Amino acid sequence: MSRVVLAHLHCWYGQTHAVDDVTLVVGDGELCVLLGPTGCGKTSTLRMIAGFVRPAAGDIFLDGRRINDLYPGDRNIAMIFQSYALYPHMTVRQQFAFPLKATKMPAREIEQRIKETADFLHMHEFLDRYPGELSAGQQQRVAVGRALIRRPKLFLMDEPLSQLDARLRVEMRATLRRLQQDLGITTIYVTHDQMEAQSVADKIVVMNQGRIQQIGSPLEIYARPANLFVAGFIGSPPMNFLDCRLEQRQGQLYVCNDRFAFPLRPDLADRVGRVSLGQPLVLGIRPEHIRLSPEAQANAVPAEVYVLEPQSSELIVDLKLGDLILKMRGDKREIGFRPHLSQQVWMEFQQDHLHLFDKGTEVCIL
Amino acid sequence: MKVLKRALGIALALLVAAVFLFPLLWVVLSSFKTKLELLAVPPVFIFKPTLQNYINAFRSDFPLQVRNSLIIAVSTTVISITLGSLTAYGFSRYTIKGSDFLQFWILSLRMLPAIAVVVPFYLVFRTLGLLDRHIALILVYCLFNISFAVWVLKGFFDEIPLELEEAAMLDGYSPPQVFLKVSLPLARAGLATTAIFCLIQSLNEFLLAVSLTTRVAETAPVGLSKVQTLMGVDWGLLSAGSIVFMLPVVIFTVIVRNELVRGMSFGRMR
Repeated sequence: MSRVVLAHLHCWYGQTHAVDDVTLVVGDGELCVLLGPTGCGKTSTLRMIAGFVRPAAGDIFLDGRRINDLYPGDRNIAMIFQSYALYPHMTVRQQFAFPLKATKMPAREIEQRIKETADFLHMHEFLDRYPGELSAGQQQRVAVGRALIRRPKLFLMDEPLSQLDARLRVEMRATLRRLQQDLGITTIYVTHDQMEAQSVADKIVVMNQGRIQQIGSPLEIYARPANLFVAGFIGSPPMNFLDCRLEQRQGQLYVCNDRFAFPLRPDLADRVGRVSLGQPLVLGIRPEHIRLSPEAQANAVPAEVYVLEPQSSELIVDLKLGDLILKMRGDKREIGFRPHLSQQVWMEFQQDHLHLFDKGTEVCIL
Repeated sequence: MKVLKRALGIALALLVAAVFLFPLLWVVLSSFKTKLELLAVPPVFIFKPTLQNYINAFRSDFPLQVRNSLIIAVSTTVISITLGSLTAYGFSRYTIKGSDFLQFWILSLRMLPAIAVVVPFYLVFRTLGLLDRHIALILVYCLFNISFAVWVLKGFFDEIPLELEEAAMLDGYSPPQVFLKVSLPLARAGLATTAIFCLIQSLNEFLLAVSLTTRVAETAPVGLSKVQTLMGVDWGLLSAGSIVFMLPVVIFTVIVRNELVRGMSFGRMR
């Protein structure tokens, strides 16, 4: 049973407020991903939990015990580093034994643990090799093994897959996830890759400029982004944004700008009721939530096909709306017609998946 | 064409080696010659070798002088490596106020010409009653070699990724243990290189040795120089002594040659 609580953590590097008031609860056996762009404070947060950096303010609890002042080695935390940090002068067997020797474990028990770990990771034939003699994927497994062998309370992973090539990365992320679920080890995982985050996480924490932007399940983060940053960071290709405002016309609420106007569904209109008319807003719609039609439709927005990007089974269409480029994504068969360059088409936004943000505060209002 | 190029290369390498090794060969041959053969013109290369020069050398003060040299050189090297690696590690891993200034100051000690400090050192050691004692030379050699060791070793410690040490900290090792079990073994190429240079410097040093010792702590280079007397030079004895004196460094170099190659090239660790 291990539960991690971060309470109002702050970290400064000189004048930079690297981590700004981070509060987070990671439940037992949960895999929590800290997601954000470079320099967003995710790695600094991880390093404070590991004990390499002292928080300027705030508390870190592991199983109800405050660990701020504990030496890294006394926290019972294991970490997989971005570079794996394998000791170049030790064989795999010695790497595995290294953390156990620190605990003064008897030699026979160490042997036993090494055998178990090697079985588990299928590493037997590599036990007497040096890290330099292993492939990137094997090195990664050694790093995992060295972390696992201590049976830590908490697993920290700092971009554990970033050194692998694309194919191996997809393979290893499934392996890591399976392993973490089998062992039920509470894990905090840092990455800047939102696809990776979506595929392994129980819970995603999106960070930017040292602050937590949103905490939620992968689906929540995708479907109900709390603000413009989260909306734009999650999803591939990213969400389309259009400046707009709300107007009242013939008793109906319209979303409009210079190029289009369409009525907002009444139930949605009720939800945004408090927003004053004419206030600058940003409309957000994901590429997969735009429907295309070759003929004019009521309430659809006309646009011109700009680029076609065929994927294996899907098609990404870049659409030109004035000087803006929007992307739409759809299954080739479901699009229903074959768009060609410079064709005039009509876009219909699926209102269930429509997002509206306040342009000033960037907060989601729908 | 390729074969020709390669042959030319080998020939050139052999030529260079021959030029550099010829004096050494001369000394080796001389050490086995009698006085008459030594001075023969033109020089003889084929003769009946004699061990008389070596026997003479070992019957003189020479063994005592070699012993002195070894005591002083080994002590200097051990102290320099120990203190040097600790200091270098400190500079490499911790933020120290005035770090740059301190490092430059340490380096500047190495730049100090020995001749400038001979007289002050002589006076200091005379006052302390340390003249003609091993400790005097050890202290002075440490002055030069520690600063050298700090500079060379800092480069090696800088190259060790911080993450390796962090991993060891998380694995449950205290900072001194991390230093001993991770950082030091990874800097061993640097340690070997530094040790060789310290050893060579303190074995070869002449000026300070001749000034600060007279008999009891006299080192081999000083002793050998005294073979050149008013009565002429005993070249045979000098050659035999030089050969014996060369051996410790040669042996040590052979032992650590693998580390040395990596150390000299300042190669990155893999």
